[in-house]
Amino acid sequence: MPFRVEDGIVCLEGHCSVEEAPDLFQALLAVEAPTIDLDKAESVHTAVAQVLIASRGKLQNPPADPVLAACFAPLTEA
Amino acid sequence: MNPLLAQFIPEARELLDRASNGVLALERGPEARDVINDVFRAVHTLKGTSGLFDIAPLMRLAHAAEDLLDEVRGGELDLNSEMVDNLLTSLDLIGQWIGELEGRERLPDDAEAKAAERAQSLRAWLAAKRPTASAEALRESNVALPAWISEFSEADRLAAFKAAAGGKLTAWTFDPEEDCFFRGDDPIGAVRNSPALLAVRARPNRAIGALDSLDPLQCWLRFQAISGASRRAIEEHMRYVADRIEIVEIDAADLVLPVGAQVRGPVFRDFAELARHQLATGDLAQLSRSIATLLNMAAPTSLQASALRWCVACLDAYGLSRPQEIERLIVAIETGAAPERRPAEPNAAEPPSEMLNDARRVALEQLEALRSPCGPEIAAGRLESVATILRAELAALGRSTALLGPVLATARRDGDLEPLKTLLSTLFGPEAESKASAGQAPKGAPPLTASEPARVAPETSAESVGLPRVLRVDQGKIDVIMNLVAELIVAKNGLNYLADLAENKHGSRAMAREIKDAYAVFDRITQGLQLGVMSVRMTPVSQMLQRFPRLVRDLSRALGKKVELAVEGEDTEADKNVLESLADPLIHIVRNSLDHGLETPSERLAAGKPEHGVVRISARHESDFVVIEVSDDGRGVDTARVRAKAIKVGVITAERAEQMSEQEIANLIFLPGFSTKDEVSDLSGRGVGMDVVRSTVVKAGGEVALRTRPGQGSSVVIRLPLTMAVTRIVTVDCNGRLFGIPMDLIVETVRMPQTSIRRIKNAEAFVLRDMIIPVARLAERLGLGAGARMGEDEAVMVVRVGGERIGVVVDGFRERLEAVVKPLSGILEHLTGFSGATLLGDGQVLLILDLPELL
Repeated sequence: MPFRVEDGIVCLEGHCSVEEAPDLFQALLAVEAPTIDLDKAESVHTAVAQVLIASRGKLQNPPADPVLAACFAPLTEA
Repeated sequence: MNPLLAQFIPEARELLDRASNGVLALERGPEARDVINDVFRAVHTLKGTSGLFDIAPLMRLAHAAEDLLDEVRGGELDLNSEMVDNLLTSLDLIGQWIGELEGRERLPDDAEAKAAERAQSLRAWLAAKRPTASAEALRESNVALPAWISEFSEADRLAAFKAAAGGKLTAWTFDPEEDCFFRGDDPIGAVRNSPALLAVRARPNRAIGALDSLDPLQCWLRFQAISGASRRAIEEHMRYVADRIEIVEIDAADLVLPVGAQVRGPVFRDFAELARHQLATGDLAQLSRSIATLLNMAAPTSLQASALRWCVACLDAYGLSRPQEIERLIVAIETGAAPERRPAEPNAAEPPSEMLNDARRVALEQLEALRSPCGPEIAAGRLESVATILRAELAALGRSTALLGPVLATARRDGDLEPLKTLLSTLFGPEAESKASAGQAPKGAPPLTASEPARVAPETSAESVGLPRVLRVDQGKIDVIMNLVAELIVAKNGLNYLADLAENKHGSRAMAREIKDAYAVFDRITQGLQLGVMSVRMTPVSQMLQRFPRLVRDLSRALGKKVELAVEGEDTEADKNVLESLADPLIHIVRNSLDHGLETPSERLAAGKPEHGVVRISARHESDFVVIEVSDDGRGVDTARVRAKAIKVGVITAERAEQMSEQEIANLIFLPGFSTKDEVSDLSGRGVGMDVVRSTVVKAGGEVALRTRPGQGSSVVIRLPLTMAVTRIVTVDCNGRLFGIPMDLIVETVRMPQTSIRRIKNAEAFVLRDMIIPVARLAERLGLGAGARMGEDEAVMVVRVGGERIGVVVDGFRERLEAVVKPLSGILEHLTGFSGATLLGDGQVLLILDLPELL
């Protein structure tokens, strides 16, 4: 399971492919303003990243990948 | 090199030559219809074949030229000398690119821009008629600076600016399609792996609503990126989503956009005054110090602090070579207002690169001239004249000459040329410097960009390793040997004549036998030699056919048809020249099959056929011919439409059309200017295809025919001689004179008792194995009077002409020989009834009869 949702924290691990996106989407529907932990994620597919952005969660740490960081920039700037 | 490309290059050169010569001929006499057709065909074929390779700019340019020629051909436009100039320049440019392709297997980096520029000028004549085409060309050349660049943070822009080191950058956007996830795309991944990514922004392309209203499998992120890679590299990387990206080439200085809060204070005015002075005197150290001091004082979030940071970056990158950038920043610091957009002149109005190349060359030559040692008075005068030239050049390029003053002043004062050199390299690109320091004075050809030699080097060295043990010989050399062998064969025939002479005139049978023995030896060796040379020139059909799978695939996709290509007999060998002459016609035939012959999948299903159409190319030997057949299982030729069209364009009369069979009607499509498709597609259907096919095949000594069955498909059969060099000939006697007849035409030779030849009204005929064969007397046809009757029997040669058998009565058969038939030229060119001439062993000229014309 590449992602876990516990106590309002979404934790992504390993390679998060497009297949995870719908599941993650379902899981996040139940969480209000989640905290997002990408530290253990090795790669995040665009679809997964979009779900996370749309959840308007908070990033625990900025992602190492500059492109991914750029995607989350609107969240951190707001 | 890719063998396909290797084949394309000489072919393209030939087409270019034909087109250029034709264009020149047109300028002399625009009435020549054949010439305009020929030029058009050449460009049309060039465009078509170039589509097989990843050289879109070349194809676009050829397409533009073709469109213009089409208008000229149709009489809608009159060719003027300006058009001729433009066409020739474009053809030359394509020629240059072909050279590049040969050396490096790809087009130069600036090809895209040059093609757009040239295509635009070609389409200028069509502009009124084809607004969309010119709009497209305009869009391609549009290089306005994108506004989103200013939305990058200063840190991002500074980092990118530093990475570019004052050079060129590429700004590109990527707007992925909504459903791209379903195709397995990962836009973030694509952007992350893009070449030389320096800065990136990602934003939703619309307002994102509440999470529950979201479709997790729809893509809505949009990317904006600044890259250090070339436009080409990014296009290559994003080629699968080419329609979703926009690329603009920018100068690193475009990133210099100070932002921050406005502050005012006398300190900034003082700084501006000081900095301008330091800039004018070229005191870099002092200027840097002043900037550092003020930077310590200014609030870091102020616009001034931002401008100062940019000052530092600019000085690092450019030194003092681009004072205009520093001046803009000084103004910003002084007024506290963000500077105007950088004047777009060096980018948006980039002068044509040819002009820039020329300018660069001239500038370099000037610099070289200054280097050569001379006395002080001469040096001063020389410097002035160089200054004049450079000023004129800058003015011509639309650039400011203000920068030249201070640099020339330095040169005048200290004799130091370095600042001038640096300035030239910034103005004309780094090549100027590298070329100058290498001491090369480039001539004529546009100079390569500085990085090219480095890139080419590893490729060539890699090529020299592990060469297969194959000798690559210029075809011209083989042709020379081939011609010599042919001459040898003719000379060999002389021995036979000598033997006759020895026996009949000098009465020496023994001598005759000796000569005949020698002849046999020669014969064996020359035959071996001929076979050897021929086998060198023999190539399998597969080599020519290898371009077709790609062609069929691309065409069928473009047409939305499902097509399978079946190839049979690809091992069949034929002379290289023969195959080369076949290549173009085959492309046209296959195109026509796909475009006109095969139906769309839905039409096929409705007609009860399998969804996939089949195009079959088969090659085989038939005696001394190679036969290539292209068949499809499409709808066949619509003979009713062909008939109607043929009558309409006036190639046949209505009465004649009534008498013609369906097959004969179908074969009318080989006539020039014939196309039943009304709209012009990109692929075929301008009415040149089948016409080209026939004229090319006939020129190579072959024939072409079309068979069609309505609803079941059609097939085009091309028959070509295996080799074109040596013809086997039978000599016949006719009223004391000798004539040659090509062996291929002769079915058999018989002796007929005179009584067997019956006269039916005023024609003669005889019966041979239950077939009535009409008889023609050669002496009568040639106007040589009645032949001398020799005994009871008539010598009859049964020949096949135009599918019919005819018996030709001659006085007698003489020797058979292999000969090189030369076409008649000069004042004999228009002689009818003869197809050429060759030399006999005794030096006599033997005329070769053109039987189809005579009978």
